[in-house]
Amino acid sequence: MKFFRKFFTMPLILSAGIFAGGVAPGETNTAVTADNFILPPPVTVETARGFYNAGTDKLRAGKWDDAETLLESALAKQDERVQPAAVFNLGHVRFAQGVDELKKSPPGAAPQSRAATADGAGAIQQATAALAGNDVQQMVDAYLAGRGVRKELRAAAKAVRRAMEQHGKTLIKWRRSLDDFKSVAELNPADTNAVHNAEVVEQAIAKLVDSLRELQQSAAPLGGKQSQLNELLQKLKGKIPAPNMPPGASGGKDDEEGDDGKLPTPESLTGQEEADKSGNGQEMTLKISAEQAGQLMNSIQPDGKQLPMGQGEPGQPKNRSGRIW
Amino acid sequence: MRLKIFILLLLASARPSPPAHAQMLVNPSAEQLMQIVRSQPAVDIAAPVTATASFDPPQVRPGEKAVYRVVFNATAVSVNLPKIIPAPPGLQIRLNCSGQTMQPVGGEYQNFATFDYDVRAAAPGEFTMPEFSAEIYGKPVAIPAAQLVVKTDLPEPHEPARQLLVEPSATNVFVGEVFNVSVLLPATAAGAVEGVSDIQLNGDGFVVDKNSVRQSIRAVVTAGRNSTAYIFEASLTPIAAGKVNLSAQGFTAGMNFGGPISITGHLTIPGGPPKMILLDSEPVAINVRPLPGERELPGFLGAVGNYACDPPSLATNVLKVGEPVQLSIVIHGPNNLSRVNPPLPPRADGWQIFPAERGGISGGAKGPGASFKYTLIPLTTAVSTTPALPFSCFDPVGGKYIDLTIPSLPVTVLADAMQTNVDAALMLAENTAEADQKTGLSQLASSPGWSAGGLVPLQLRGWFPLMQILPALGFGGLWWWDRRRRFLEAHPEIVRRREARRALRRERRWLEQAAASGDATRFVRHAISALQIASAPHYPATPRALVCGDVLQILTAAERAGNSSDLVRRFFAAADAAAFANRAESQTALLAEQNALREILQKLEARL
Amino acid sequence: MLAVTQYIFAAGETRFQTGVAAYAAGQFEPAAQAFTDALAEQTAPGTLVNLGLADWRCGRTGEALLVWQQAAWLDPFNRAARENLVYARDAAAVNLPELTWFEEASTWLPANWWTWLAGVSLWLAVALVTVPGFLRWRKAGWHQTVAALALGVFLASLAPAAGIFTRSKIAIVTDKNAALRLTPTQAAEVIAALPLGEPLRELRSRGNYLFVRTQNGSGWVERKQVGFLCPK
Repeated sequence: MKFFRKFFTMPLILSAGIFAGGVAPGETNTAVTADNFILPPPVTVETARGFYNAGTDKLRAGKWDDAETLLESALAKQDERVQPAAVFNLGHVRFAQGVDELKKSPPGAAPQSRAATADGAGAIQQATAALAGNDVQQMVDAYLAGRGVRKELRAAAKAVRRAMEQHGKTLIKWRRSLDDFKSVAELNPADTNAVHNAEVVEQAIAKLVDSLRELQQSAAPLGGKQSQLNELLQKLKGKIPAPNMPPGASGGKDDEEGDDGKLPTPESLTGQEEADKSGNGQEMTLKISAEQAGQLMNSIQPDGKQLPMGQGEPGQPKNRSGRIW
Repeated sequence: MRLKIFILLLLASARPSPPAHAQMLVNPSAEQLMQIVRSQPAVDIAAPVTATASFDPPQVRPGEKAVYRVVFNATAVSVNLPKIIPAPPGLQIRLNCSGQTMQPVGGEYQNFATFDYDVRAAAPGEFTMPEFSAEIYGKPVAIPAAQLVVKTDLPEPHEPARQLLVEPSATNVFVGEVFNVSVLLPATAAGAVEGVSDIQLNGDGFVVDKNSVRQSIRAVVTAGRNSTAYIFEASLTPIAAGKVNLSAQGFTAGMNFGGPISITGHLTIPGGPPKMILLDSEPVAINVRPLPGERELPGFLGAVGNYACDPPSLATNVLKVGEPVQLSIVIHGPNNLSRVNPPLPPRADGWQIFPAERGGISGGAKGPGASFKYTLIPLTTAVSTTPALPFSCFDPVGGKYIDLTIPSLPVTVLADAMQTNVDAALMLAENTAEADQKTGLSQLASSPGWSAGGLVPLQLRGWFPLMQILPALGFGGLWWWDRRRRFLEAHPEIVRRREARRALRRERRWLEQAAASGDATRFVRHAISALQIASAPHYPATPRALVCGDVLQILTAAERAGNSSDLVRRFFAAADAAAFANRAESQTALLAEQNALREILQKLEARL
Repeated sequence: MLAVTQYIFAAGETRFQTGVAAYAAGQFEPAAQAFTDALAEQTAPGTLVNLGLADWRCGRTGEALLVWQQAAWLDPFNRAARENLVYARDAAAVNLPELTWFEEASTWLPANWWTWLAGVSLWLAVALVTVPGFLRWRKAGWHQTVAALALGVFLASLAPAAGIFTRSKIAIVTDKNAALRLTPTQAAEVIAALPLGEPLRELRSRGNYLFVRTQNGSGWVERKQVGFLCPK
């Protein structure tokens, strides 16, 4: 798929600037030996520079999670000499993590969804026609065809859900990456590599969002089709005489009842509409209440971390026995 | 007879109405989080981007509005149009609105971004909008030329540019007061009515309740004539005070209504695939007034409207200490019930009250009502009524707050015979402790209290460290003075010589005065005294005890051999004669020796 | 000079009474403004307490906590300030600042008293040791006793005075959107949200950001989102 190919070329653009921009403050990057352990490797020198060198080594080795942990540790040391370089490399790590997440997305989910929708429409039409007549064979044929299409619909829904989840994870990573590069540009305005990388990541995010929207649009009719088809198949099942009932349909419930992949409902797939850009203000079209939306938005940070919710029982102070200050 | 036809159209792409969220979301699910992050524009990145441009209608009268419409198969945000459109002279052009929709093209969906410009020409003529380019995804895309003919006499029937109409149910509302807005698309001159999709209400400071959206097609009176129109209705809640310019925009959607619709009367709905044309409306001004801050009643939580409360009901009136009981209340109101916040549980002695749980909205004789359930636990047998729940709303018609406090209900609380309800006892103990600790906010201080120079500590103020120099200097001075004193005590000759110098200067001054006045006797006396003072520290001795010989010994040998010795003797002799002789000789001649005496005294002073 | 001082105090008193009247009338915003104006004329614990009450009524939790802290800083014996702090901390669910032992000790007296105590006791001890010698007074036992006591007071007040200095680095979150950031940048990764009224301790600064320590960790916070106990 052309879209994915485009994404996978992004890191090449980025990596051209990453090590040039991420000026290694350490003389060497030999603090960490290559290993295959799950836990981050031990750092010989637990200074910001030591963590940075180790994280950069892991970045070169393609071990994103280790690199992220080590570079975060370098940042947490709050050494201002190391900070810009560590944030720069973190931006690259997070972009790469996003790419990895995107690779896990099932390919061709949107076309599969559209094809399933079309098949579903055909099956619904066939079942409706069969129900209108009294031809048992036609009803059996429609029932069998409907069952097949229903599986197809379910598979498409599952693929779309998976793809959207992966896209969502990628989006979160890339937004964090974008913020990292912006932070570097803010810390060191002379760092043109960071500015360039931020622009590249911004473009990638725009295309990713387009792809998400395409998935969303393609999946929107799936739920309606599947429920409509289920209803018609139930009616067919009621009308087909028992001796003519095809094998596998005699159970109390159809196989669709044990649906493992719950369909994404239109509510869950459709987002807010694009606000007017003409300068006439924006419409606050919320499907949820303003309070709930506010809580949702407050709970989401750019890096995907959730902040404590400000409702329900308030958190108690940790220490209440101290003196008045 | 008027024929009423109700048609329920559920299209394949229709979205079911979202369920009302009865409870506040605590932990948003992955779908909900993704729903937020997915609200971004779409673009088909595979297809080459093209543009079309046209005037709607292509022929207008002078001063009449036409719409210059540019459509791209790309997302709206990716389109970077030039800030100044190269309009021909005489044509006024202004960007009015933009929108984006998705249409199936060749089995796939494509995004279409539309930009509508408001165009007017004052004089007749043929105006050609030249070809120009816009930047999309960083690449230039050519927008073809389009022509507008402006004529005074146009052939009838002339159909002006199609527009949406916005009709609010009220134009003067309070913050939080729900009002309805109708967006109308009148039928074409041929009588065809079509739906509008992706309707957006534009304007700052209000929230649209999507659950309240309704669609209908019915006869209306617009511009003084009867016609049929597609009508979109929604409820709006202003959330900020001020003047709001409300306008609408949407795409014509043919017979695709996207949900349930009520149709009344005879009408023609065009078939076939819809032409998704972006339309907009003229803005309507809504004046949103702030709620009066004063006279606000306790328990006001933002409910604006004509609300009423049913009498509360308690599951049982006979309770035991520590036994939870449910208190139900129902709040009736015209609209917006899903957003009504229930009364906050008050702090009441002897009661543990948990926040209300929403019980949903149900119909009834008094209209729809939102029910809430509180869980109350009596902590002591001393309570005899449930606590009142302060609640009030603002009546926008009367312009005042209305008290809707949930009244108390009588209860009988029995003690637990076995005293086993440890939880209740603990809660009671905690409550009492809290009551001791949390006494609430204090009263206002009646006076400012003692004045402080500021909040900055003294150590950080410049003057304080400097002020510490003063005592240090004082003690340093004392030390120096003591040291000097001890030194002088060890060397008394220094003191004697210093005192002698001081006395000698004094005597010389008097000597000069006596000489000037011609008083020879005084002159001689002070001269003798000066010579004695200048010589005394060398012995040391009291000056008055020295005689002429003592003074002469202080003189050097050369001085003794010269006139100095003689002069000293003469002065002493004159003084002795004046003191001891029977007849004193005149001392006037000695006045002439003033300069010689001065020299002797200077030499003696130099030796001190 | 005295006349100018009296005039300033009178103006502060007038604004204070204006604030009290506005507060009593339920006009909390004008009351807060009047108390702020009164503070500009004259810093006094009672004015700070009242300003905190007005801020609290206006929903400015962080500001209210800050000014009550300032009132307690000026006058630890002010019961209203202490009670309001207990109540507000409980209502806002924020923590007490973590204080070292010498900072705890510094809370026993008004902030400047410790400094005065240290200064006066030091010079008293020095005077009692040296002045009798200079003036050749006969050495008396009480001289040495008082000098030893003064020296003891001086040494004892050094630690609280140092505590006052370190406490002056404490700030309170006054912006509801304040967040602890990993780097001093606008697009920084957020470590934690900072609730209104949360105490922070400034460690260093860079541009518009302060590197602070909180009970939830260390990080950067925007300077404008916090208020210092001792405004700089």
